[in-house]
Amino acid sequence: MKNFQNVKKVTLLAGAFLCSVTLLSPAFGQNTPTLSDPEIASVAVVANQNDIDFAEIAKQKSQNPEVLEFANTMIKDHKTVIDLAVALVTKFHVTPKDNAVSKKLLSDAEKTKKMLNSKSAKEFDKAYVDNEVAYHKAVIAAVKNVLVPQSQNAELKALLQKVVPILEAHLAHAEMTQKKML
Amino acid sequence: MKAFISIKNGILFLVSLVLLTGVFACQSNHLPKKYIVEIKDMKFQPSKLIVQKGDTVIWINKDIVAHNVTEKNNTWASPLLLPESTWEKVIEKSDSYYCSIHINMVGALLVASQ
Repeated sequence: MKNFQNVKKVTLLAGAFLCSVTLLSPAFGQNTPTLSDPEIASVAVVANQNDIDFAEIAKQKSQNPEVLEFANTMIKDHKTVIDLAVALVTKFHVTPKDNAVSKKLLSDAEKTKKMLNSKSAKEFDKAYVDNEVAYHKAVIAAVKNVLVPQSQNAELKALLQKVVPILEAHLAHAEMTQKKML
Repeated sequence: MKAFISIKNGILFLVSLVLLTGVFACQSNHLPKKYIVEIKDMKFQPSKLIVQKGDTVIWINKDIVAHNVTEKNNTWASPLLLPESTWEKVIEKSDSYYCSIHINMVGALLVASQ
């Protein structure tokens, strides 16, 4: 019976993950978008800001110390990356430019925020952490396969490359928290 | 005969004294060394470091985000280490540590027996 429950939980998690990736996939989809540096900067800022917004909701709704600790880390690290990206575009007199990918990321994030806000206190932690796992997987793939290869400015490319291990550490942290909830 | 025993004891005493002095000299002759652990790509590098008691370990944050160095039971911890900042500690015993901001970042200090 316990095994059946575990299989059911894993199946539900896999379903949740697939749904999240499907939500993100049009933004970072199979048809790789072509982005200029100002557009890449915009995508980078939006992707980081989205995760800060999710973490702010977690700070309001969660009572779980591990979830709160994770949310605080997301806020600190993603804010640092945004500050560095803004400093870089300021240095090169570039204005981040909205594009189809950043717009899709924004609209997907609105749906995710609605979903998170609709959860009861009991359901929230799992929904938040599951989304963090799926979101970080999607963003890591996008940074590695789209943003880094397409960035032309060496400093922008270097910043994006430095961000990858940070995102991977966040993913490992989220997965560790997720396992404790099973 | 008595004189021979006294001479023998005297020699034994002197030999023991020389040996003991040597042992203490060896122990106190360890000059404390300094070791560097880089915090880079969200890892402590090296993640395991063998030192001798009294050596100093210097952690340098080469990442773009802030970290800290916290003993696994929180008995000691560095302040927040902003990018490019350093923190050092004289090592007295073996310890495991982690970054309390990124809890999957771990490291260990092993004090070698002398």
